Amino acid sequence: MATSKGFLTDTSLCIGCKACEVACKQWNQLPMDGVEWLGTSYDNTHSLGATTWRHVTFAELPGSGGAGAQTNWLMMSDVCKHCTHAGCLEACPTGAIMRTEFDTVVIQQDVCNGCGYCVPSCPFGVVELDVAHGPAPTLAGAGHDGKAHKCTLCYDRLQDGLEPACAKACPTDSIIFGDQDDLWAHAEKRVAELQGKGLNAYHYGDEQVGGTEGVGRLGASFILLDEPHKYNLPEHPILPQDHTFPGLATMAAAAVGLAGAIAWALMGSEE
Amino acid sequence: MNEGRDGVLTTTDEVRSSYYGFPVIKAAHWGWLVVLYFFFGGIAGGGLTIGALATLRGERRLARLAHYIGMAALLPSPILLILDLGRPERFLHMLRILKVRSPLSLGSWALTLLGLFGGGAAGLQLLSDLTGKPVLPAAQKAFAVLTLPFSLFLTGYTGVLLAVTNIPLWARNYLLLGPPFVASAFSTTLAAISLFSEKHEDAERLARAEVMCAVAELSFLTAGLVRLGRLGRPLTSGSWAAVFWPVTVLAGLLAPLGLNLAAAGSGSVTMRRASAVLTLLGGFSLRTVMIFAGRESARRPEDYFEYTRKR
Ligand code: SF4
Repeated sequence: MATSKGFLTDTSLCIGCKACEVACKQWNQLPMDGVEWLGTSYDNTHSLGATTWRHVTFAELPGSGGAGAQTNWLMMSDVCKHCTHAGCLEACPTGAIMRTEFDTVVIQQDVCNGCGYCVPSCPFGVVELDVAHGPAPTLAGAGHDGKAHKCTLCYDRLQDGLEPACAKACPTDSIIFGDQDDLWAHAEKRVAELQGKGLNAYHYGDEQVGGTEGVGRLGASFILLDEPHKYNLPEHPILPQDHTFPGLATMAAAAVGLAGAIAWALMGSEE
Repeated sequence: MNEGRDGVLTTTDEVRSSYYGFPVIKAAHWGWLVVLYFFFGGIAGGGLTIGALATLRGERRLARLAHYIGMAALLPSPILLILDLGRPERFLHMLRILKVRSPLSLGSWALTLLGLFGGGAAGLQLLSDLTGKPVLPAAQKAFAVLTLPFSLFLTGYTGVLLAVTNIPLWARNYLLLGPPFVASAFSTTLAAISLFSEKHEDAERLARAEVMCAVAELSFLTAGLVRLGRLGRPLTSGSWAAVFWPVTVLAGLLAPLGLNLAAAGSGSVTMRRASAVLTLLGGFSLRTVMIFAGRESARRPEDYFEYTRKR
């Protein structure tokens, strides 16, 4: 059994070069998304999606102190979090989404039937269907294939002992790949170092520090320098399936109660 | 965006409170096919439930109508669901496994088994009607017992299916999304039954049951909206409010309630028919607004951040 693998994306080192986006698209043969500058910034891929498995966010935060104050750039290469308790995986009715021997979350493309339930079940808006009415462009050469897609943490490369394409391409080691326990130890040291420099750094994705709770520790975690929502990340992601049994219980109570009431109101005087 | 003093663009609150207002999560792709399925599935569940109960109680007239209506609604359901898949030819993959925490997995199995048991019950009903005498009455009762768990499940699991996602409008309300779907499933079933019911003395009883369902649905919806608070805005003041208030609530719930109560005094057949038609319209619109307002909810980063705020 291989150990748990993951990413640590240290945003304090990100220079916004998008080498990760390009390497990901090349290795996984994903088409381009068009060049359209979004959010009045250098973002041109908008969000993660069926054909964008790494996405670099560019948030420009004006510094305090009025005009002329230095702009604060928050750049982060976003990716599927490979959650310990993954909403997409628990929602999947076909078993297409599986947990691999590397503890990553992968969609088996020969099983997925495009029901789309994983899409609203991901707490981070990662996975997406490649369908005609979605915003995603066509998968190269295949037309819209109607199936769900997201980062595989380069499952094929991992099986051959290679690191994922994005981590390999990152020129500043903002993205590093490795055993989750090693990444955790590294993150702890790095956060302390950044805090020592007066930065508001913390490790997002660590249950202890308060990144997540419902979804457990994130296989792909981040070192952030500002509040999560500035990077479009939720403070406290919730695992949807924790609501299944309570929701079914109230539903069943209402169904049995109303059926009984209807039987009482309707029956008993025929013939 | 603001024009800075020196003409340079500077960022505003948008980027301070979210990432340029971009959605954080992705909406479900569900549209009209799923709305139609939710509508028919509710009547299938309601019809086969009432049919089964009537069989067990020996109410032949009611059993016949309820079984036929339930079956007529059940038949298009899988077709609608299969058409909604990105890869329709792979629909059988739903039955590779069972996941008890995935409402969609549970629903696929419930629909399949209901087709088996409810189909058996409705088939025997049809044979009995064709031959003019009860065919295998013991088997009819057995099918009724087997049908009930799955038909009851079908009345409301669709609400739970929506709730078990990250869409704030659905997810925050996870305890109270199933119950109004249940009430609406039964009220639309009763409305369909009353449209086909010929016996005058049945009308009185049907109206009584319809009133109960409408009151239940109103209470569940109200409690849900209270629970949602500001997260309910896509429904109560967003673009779907123009359907939710006038069609779902006023025409679909309050009007039939009034008509049924008025008809109880006057015995007017027209009023009862109008009430039934409005109830069906209301049930359809409930599913429409819930599904489409969910898309609006997914587009609002501020709603999602509120839903996932640490408490
Ligand atoms: S981030 Fe979303 S897509 Fe990735 S494993 Fe978690 S739930 Fe699944």
